[in-house]
Amino acid sequence: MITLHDKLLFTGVILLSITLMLFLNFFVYSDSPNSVVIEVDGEVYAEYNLKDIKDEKIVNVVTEYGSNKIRITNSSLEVTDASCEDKLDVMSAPITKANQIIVCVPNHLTVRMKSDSNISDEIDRVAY
Amino acid sequence: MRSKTKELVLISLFIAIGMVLQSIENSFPIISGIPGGKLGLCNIVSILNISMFGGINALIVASLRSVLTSLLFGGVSSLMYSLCGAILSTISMTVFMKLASDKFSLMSVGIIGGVTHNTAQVMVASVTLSSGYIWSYLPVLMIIGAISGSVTGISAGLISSKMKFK
Repeated sequence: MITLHDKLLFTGVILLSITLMLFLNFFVYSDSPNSVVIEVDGEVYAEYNLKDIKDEKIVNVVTEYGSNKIRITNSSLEVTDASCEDKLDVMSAPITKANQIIVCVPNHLTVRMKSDSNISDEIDRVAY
Repeated sequence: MRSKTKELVLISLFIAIGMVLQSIENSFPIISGIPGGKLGLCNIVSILNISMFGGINALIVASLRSVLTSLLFGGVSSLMYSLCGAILSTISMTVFMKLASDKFSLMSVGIIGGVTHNTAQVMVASVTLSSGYIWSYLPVLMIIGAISGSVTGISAGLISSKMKFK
């Protein structure tokens, strides 16, 4: 038998996760990114400033765990090829906002976009 | 009182049922492309096990089942996810059933099991990647866990009302 408490718990869990997702969307993913960080095992493998990328840049990440091909444009980031079996990182949509991530767990790879105020444009700061 | 032999047979039976359910589930395509989102059919076995034989028995069955299924169908990498998820969800379902079974039915037990199983998966993934960023994925998995957990919980409730052997 489904009791009232069951329904309350179900609604509570759903509401909690929707609130968390909205929070992430509006407060964590809101900044526009200015750099791309590629991490393997939690350590920075490579970092690219989006301003330095002319049209697009293909990065091959080859480590002891496997290889991934990452495509960076000046506004988006996606994984186009991977050596892992499930290819979940290739299937995930390109990311465009700061703090969003794409992961490839079998290859211990994390790629994320970062908005770092240290490398933001100096001229803009003076102008405003 | 149940004899030792009957208990042994029932444990093996439950492990076998769980393995079959998990292999059936593995042959499904990933639901709507959400990694980690799955039905968790063997959660039914765990819930029935806890309500019939108690938490320790269920813990033995769940961990043996996940080790055996990972060795048969998955790989060593999927073993950690499966084992941690099974252990954490069985423990929390047992505690929940002890504390709150007068107000909540088996559906809630299923929800708790589903959500904690997914939490354990994110935990293992964040340890593997040595990065905390993957926790932002937890809300998505929590919704999947709540839905699939209530489905498995309701099924477990239906089965346990029909089951006669004790």
